[in-house]
Amino acid sequence: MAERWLALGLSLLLAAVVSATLLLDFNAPQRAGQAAPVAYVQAVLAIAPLGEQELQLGRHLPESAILALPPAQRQLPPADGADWRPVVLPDHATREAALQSGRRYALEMRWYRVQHRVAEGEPLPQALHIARAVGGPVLVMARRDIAEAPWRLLLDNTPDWLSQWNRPLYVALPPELTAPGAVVQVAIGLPTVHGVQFGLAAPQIGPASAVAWQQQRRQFWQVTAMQLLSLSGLVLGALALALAWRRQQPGSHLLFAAITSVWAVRNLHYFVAPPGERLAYEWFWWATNSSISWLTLLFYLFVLRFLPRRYVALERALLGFCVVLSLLTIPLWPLQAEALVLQHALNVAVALGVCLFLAALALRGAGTEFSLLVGTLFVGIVLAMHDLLLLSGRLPPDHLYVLPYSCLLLLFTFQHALARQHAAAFADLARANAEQELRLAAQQAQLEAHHVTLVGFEREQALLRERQRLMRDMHDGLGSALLSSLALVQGRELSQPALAGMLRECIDDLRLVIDSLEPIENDLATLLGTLRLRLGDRLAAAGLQLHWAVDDVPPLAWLDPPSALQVLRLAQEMFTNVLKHARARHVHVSLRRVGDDVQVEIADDGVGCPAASFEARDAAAGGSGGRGLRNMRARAQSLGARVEFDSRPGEGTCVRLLLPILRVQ
Amino acid sequence: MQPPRIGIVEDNEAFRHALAQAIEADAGLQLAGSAADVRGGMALLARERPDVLLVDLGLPDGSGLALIREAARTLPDCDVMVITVFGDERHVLESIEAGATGYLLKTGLPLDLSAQVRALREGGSPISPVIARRLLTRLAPSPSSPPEPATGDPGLSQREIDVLQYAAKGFSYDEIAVLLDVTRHTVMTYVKRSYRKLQVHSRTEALHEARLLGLLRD
Repeated sequence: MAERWLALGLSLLLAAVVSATLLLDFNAPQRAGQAAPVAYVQAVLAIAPLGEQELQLGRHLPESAILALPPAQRQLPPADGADWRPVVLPDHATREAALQSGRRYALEMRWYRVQHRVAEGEPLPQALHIARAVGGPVLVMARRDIAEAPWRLLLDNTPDWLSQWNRPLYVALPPELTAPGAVVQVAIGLPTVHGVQFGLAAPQIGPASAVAWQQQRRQFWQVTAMQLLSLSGLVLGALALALAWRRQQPGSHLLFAAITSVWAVRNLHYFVAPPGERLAYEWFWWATNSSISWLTLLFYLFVLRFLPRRYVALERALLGFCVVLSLLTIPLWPLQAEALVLQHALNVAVALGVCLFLAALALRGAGTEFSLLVGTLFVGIVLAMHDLLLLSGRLPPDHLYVLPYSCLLLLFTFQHALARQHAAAFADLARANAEQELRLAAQQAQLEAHHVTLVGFEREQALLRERQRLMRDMHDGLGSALLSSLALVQGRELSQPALAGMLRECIDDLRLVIDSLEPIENDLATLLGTLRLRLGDRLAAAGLQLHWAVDDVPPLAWLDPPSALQVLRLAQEMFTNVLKHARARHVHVSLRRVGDDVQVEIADDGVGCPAASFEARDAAAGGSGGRGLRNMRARAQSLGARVEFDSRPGEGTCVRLLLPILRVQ
Repeated sequence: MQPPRIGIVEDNEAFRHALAQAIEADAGLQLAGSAADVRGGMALLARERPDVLLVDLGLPDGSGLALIREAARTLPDCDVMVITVFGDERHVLESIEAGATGYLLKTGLPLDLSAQVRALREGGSPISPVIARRLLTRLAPSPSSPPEPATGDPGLSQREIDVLQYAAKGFSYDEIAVLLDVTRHTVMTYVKRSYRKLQVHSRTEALHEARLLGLLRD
């Protein structure tokens, strides 16, 4: 999102810069059919000595001495008979590597003279434009083309001399000299130190409006555009800063913001006149010239961030270089006069070295963004070389300083790389998230599958257990009853009613199993009631009167079907004993809570017997019931329950089944 | 009073014959006809309009429940008895929901068939503790949820709840009658009434669910 806003901001800025340029260039007062000014590439030159002077040199300026020249020494252009010789403009000379402070140097005034003829019908007034004049403060004089005619001083640029190095000059010619058809002599005086760099662009003379347009265009590209560029850079930097504020790893954005700030410092001298006071002047130039080293350092730190690994040694070396160079050029020790060209040459050399190293990395495949950045850096270096040549006087002075323009390109590329980097990071993040989600979903599906399998397995196990239990019960109960019936029938020892009775017992047993599966919701009363319903007929047939006294009892949480069957079996056994042995007339069944137990009591008024003989009698009765009592106890034990017998001869029998309400597993 | 005319739908031939013989042997009962499957049973219902229908659930061409519903729909005065081997909760409850008011245990035959039919005709239905418990769970208003008067669903009366609670604990009709100080016959009518209520209740439930599912509009 932020990247989009940034991109929008960039586009708007770019559009503003471009349209401002176009407006200035095409809406300037250059009208169709208007005569263009004449650019004078041919002139005559006379050099007049200004004597010798001990120069107190700053790092940048032998010219500062020239400033101190008394106006009297500026003289007038030499007379006609003097040593005028032809010269081709622009005229320029290389700057010496270094001058020494405190030495005496020969000063001279270079006079350039051209003759301008005002054509008939040409628009008036007329004016003069000099794209760039490097050296001392420019003097411009003019006179009518008559021998001994007086010179008129049109411009003494001494007050604006500090910014003269990058300001196009505009001089209006006086109307009385530029009558139609008249010829005007124009002399341009440029004070220089002998053998030291100077430069003069070809002067343009013509109708004032056309000349003004030329001068304004030049002003735009040399001054106004620099302001716009610095301003755009600062805006971009502020945006980057705002972005860095919200990022977890704001490094690149902070670097970017730093680059734009240093860049603004670096470009300051293009549109701000340096301070006039000597020390401030020196520091001003120190700051703008040193800043380019730091700018280069920041560029490289930024670009290096797009590499997978850090080049700490390289970063430190670059930092060291910047520190040393900045310290060496501090204006506190003015010994290294005129080292500016050397300083910038060093800058360019180091930048070129690092850039070649980075290019090698890019060629080995460090990614599109990185390659783009390195390519842009190379463009910057080429432009820097151009400016260095211009600065050192190896290029004509009508060239523009272009390095600031490369900065704009760099900033755009950097911003693009940042945006791409973040887009890639976001894409990575989104992809990682998607993968994570897929993995999670897969894991969840797997877990669910496991769960389903597990539940299915458990259900199968439960089913299997239930089946096994049923089979065992049927085998023990129903199976053995059926087998013994079969044996009896085969031996023809069984009467039909006896057979029917046996089969009925078999069915009764089957019923017990089925009843144990009925939903009784852990209610023992319902379970007993079910048994009563099953046995009711038989008890009635035996002439037994049943007394049912069932209280509400707490539900037994453990009373699942297997336990219910055991309880049913136990209770049935108790009833069967009454039916078989007691010869009773009444049987009392009660269910109630006794302490922590639920008690099922079955009491008859039959013959009864001593408790000791109970089991003996039971054993003597033979048959499957031989182990009846022991079986009951075993069954009770398996339920965590107890069975109590209470019987005396002639006083009936009472059997109590005590079932725990809470069964400890 | 005319002896009740009884229709039998039972696929076990021996058992069907035994039933028919027991009915014919009893002067107080009259056999209206017998069938061995759902189709025959439907024809029997339409043709003979019996007063009592004895019906087995597992029939070769379908469930006896269809016959119970048909009888409940077309012959409101017909008492339906389900023939079941064990009187287990699932079968009996389904039959009651379909409209049956009694059930007959196969093993109980034929000793007291006429007694049971007569009791049913007089308005009394048999019940087991498990069935009573289920009726209570299904019909008694639970304390947590208030009754819904809008559905017109008849809840159990206090008397009916009392009867079912005793029945669920295994008390016999006679004992319940003593405990509640009513006649045995009254106890049996309470049970039969609860059966009818379960039938209505299950129908309302079906309607309610249909409404919830958007199948029906109010």
